[in-house]
Amino acid sequence: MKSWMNKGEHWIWFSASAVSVSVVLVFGLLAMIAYKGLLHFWPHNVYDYQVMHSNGQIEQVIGELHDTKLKLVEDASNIEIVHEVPEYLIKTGNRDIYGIDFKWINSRDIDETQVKLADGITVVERYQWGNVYGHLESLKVNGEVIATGEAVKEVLQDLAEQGTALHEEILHIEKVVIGGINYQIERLRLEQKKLEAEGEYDAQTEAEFEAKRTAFNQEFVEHQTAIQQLYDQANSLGEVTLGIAGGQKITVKIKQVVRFWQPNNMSLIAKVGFFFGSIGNFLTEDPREANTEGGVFPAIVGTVTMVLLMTILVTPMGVLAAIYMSEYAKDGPVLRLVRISINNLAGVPSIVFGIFGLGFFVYILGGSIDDLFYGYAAPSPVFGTPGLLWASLTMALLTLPVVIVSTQEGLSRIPRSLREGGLALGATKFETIMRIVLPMATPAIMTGLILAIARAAGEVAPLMLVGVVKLAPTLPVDFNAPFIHLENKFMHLGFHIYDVGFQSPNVEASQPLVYATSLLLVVIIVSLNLGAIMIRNRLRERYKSLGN
Amino acid sequence: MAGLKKFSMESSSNKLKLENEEIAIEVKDWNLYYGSKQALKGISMKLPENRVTAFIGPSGCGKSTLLRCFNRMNDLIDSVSVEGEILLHDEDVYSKHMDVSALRRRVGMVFQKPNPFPKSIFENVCYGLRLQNIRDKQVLNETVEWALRGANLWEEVKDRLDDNALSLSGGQQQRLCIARAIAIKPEVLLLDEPTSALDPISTLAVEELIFELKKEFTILIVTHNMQQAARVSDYTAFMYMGDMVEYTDTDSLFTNPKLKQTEDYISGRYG
Repeated sequence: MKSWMNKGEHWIWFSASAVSVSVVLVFGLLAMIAYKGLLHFWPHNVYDYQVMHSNGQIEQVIGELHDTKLKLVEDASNIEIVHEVPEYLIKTGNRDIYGIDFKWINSRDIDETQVKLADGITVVERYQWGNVYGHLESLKVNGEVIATGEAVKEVLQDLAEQGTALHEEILHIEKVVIGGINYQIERLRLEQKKLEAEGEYDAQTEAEFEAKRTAFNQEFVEHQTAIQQLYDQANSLGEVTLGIAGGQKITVKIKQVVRFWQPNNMSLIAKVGFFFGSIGNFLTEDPREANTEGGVFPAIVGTVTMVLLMTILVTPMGVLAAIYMSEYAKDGPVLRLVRISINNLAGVPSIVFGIFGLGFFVYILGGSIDDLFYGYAAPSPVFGTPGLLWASLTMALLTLPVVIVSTQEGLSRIPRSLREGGLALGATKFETIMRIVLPMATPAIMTGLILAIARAAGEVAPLMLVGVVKLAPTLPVDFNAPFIHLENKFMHLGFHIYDVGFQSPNVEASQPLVYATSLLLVVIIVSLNLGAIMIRNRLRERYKSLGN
Repeated sequence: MAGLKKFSMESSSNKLKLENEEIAIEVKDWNLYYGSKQALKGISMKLPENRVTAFIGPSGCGKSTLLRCFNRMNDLIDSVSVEGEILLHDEDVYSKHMDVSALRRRVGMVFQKPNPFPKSIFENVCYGLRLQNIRDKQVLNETVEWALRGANLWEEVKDRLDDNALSLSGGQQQRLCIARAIAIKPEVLLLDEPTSALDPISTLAVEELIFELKKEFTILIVTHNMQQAARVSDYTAFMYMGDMVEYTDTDSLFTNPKLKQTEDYISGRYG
């Protein structure tokens, strides 16, 4: 043992165990998020519980087993003894009838051997009020019952598909077509205000504007009529009635049905199909019901747009600063002070950057831009309010030190002989840097960007101050020129996690969504990074045999 | 080794005299200091046109430093200060009005370690031309071929001009660097120990090349290898501790050195 200690082996073991702990933590974390997040998309079995109340009444509870907790209960005869009794959290759905989606039941109140799969149960996902758990009873179209019992399923399948198609069509017209018209009208209004402010709004232009506005309005009305027709069509699809636990009935309009499934009757393949379908919906749909249901599409778009814009802003800034500092600046106390400041900037808490972004970018810079160019839009601010541009700029500032430091390291690694080679051919110092040194430093610059992307995509606190909102009415990128709207507020996955997890009116329902969104955020950051790493490796390959 | 024999025979058959030469570069009482340390001490010499002049001497004697004065590569080092005059065809190299980039286009340089850029072979050779904003594809193609032929590399690389220059062998890389330097058609070519990182076969190739190149360029070569100096050069300067000890035609210096110090060095008694 002593010789073992003397050889220093125990240090190897110590350090190796530190590595193992880190690896276990990282993979444990990822595994937990992945498990909990993906479980959300799996069609869970629905069980039928017979709950015996203390007054002897038996209540039927039908739902998915969501969670199990141990509750401490004092023994009836002896206060000193405490029993651990499992309690089950059941997702019962039918919020419009029961008031809440979830119900706790105590394992003492049920006979666990009597718990069985709810036979033939149907789960209906609705655009409002959450899921319905019940048995299909009848389907009415225009007040006439056209199917009952088992036959309902096929008819409902058909009608629900029509409903979904109509829903998408309506959504498209509302968001894209009418959204576009609204955007044009708003632009027209601002243009008019601008001309008025400049005193160039004469009778002729007024007539032109009026004509344009009338055209837009007419278009608007046409689409409005089209939508109304689609709504009527959707309304006339009929309604389906389900019998739910407790003997009540729920009637659901078919236009309200997102989709329905019978989890207890599904084969494994069908479940897998449903699983991937749910993931697809999660990625492509807008959130519903105060973000506790539906998808996260706008948050994905917001996050990616913000990160890419941040990258575009931070790269030139960081690279140019690094070039000046490592190639031109004379070494001395000032340069050392600047270096120390930059390194320390990386350690400033992110919320401080948020405050700075709000105070400087939004109010001072944005306010000045509004005063100078958008005075006619007053009192409503254009850039003088949190938005995509300011969020990206704040993030660029936050990640600037990382980019500067790694670029500097990259520049200092380029062998002197290559710089001399460039200079000896008659290149100026600037030409040598731009044509030889900088291209060879690109792998290091990419490393800096990878770190910057990872940091910016995961940051939440400063974004809350400079442009991220719970629910943005429009996407920051769309089909209306100029396609990217720098002044718009946007949604962000990190903030979405916070919002769904902690600001949600329906905590139990949103919990799996928090995991799913976290998983998605990790996946997005990893894929952004993988993209950058692939580019870096290709660059490294090109310059690999250098300096040996 | 037939090539080597040829050089020495030729250089011994023609008696060279510095007085009869056209002068490309004239150095007048040249001093150079690294901070307060003097590295070159009052050097004066005339370097002949279209000849190979070799600089020999022990490590740290200042021969590379002197070579780097001719294209002002020493400017890159902050602590360097200079005194005296260097005239390139009667133009003061260190004049305030001298465009250093233009000077370096007239005085090309090849370094000790091959330093090709991580670009294609073609791009390496035409790098200097691109700097001069020459974009004409035909001019570029012709110049690249001319330079590569001049550097004796054309036959080896003509089918893979788009390959990365780093894929070449060390000797090929060095010849590529020479091609790169001659592509901009300089008046003077500085070679700073061009073969010290190369194997004997590549060294031979570069030496043969130097012999060819002197028809068109004035060549100044720094070398540690006295046999090499004897083989390739027409004139040789022996430097020691920043002083120019002896400078005359190569034959005289190696067969009949005037100073004891030179004799000791070339016979290998020190250095």
